[in-house]
Amino acid sequence: MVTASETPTSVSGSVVRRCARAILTRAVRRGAARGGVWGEAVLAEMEEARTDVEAIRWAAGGLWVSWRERTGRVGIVAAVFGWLFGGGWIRRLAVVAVLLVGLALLIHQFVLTVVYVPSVTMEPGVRAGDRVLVDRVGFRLTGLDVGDTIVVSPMGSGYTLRVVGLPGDELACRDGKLFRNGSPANEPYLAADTTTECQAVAVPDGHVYLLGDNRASARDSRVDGPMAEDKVAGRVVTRVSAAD
Amino acid sequence: MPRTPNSSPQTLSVLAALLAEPSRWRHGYELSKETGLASGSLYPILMRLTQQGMLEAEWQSPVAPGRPARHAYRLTSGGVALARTRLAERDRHSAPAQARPAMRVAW
Repeated sequence: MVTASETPTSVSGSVVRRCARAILTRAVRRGAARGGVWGEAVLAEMEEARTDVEAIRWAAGGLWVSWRERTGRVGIVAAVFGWLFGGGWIRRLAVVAVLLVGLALLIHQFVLTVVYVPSVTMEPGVRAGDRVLVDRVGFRLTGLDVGDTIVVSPMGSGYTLRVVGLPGDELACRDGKLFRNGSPANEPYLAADTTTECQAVAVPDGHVYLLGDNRASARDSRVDGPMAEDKVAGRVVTRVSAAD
Repeated sequence: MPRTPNSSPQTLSVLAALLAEPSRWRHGYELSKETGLASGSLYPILMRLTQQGMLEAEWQSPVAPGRPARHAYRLTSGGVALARTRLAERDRHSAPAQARPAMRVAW
């Protein structure tokens, strides 16, 4: 057992360094007395690292070395990288360009996309003919909230509606106003003279209640009932271009 | 164009560091410092060179109690020959590359 009274060059060291060494030791030896030659070789050099940052970087590389040694995958990753980026600068540029385009397409398909809104359901905020930027991932992480404008699947239809009720909410309409759990809903996005007519409803688990801002002409949850949350295709982030 | 084995800039820098003092046993950490390669890049190169018989490796007993035994490396005679060849090739190829900007200026 090493004690703190020994010199700084002992097997002790800072907490960071001890953690880095412990993680690498575990990865290399996996409970055995000794691991593979190359993993052990990296581990044996841990004491040489002068700073904590160096120790962490050394250990991180060691994890990779140990993994490669154990799986025998001597270079699938390295071979692919070598093939992709090993050529001259023209090829490297071409590879990077192709990867960037691919990434952009993936992002456009799965993360952020622009859709054309054909319907009047969300006037006056979003008018028929507008294009809106739609987030397809973030809302799944943060969850939907009252007031969010969402796009109803299938994607590309651009059919947008607003979330006015979450699971467990009790909704009702009185005197042309929407009430949520007994209090009047704050709906600053409505045109001034809007009146809302609806049947009282309790939103079931896993569903959201949707209304178009254009209450008079929107086909929404008043007709179709609360919508299952997994049918939500995306959340509108902002309007990117207005109808002509 | 097929690539020549052991001719990547990283491998060349390892070969150059080892060739500087071919008879001395070298440790991974100092090689990492000399070549600027992280452990995750350096060791796979050492592994490959050892597999190819270009490098010999041995465990050296601890210099002081409480210190671990360290793995040390040096070029075999085949490794020395390989390092000389590859480094000479590199120098031949890099010379015209340096001349190119001067030509552009001349235009």
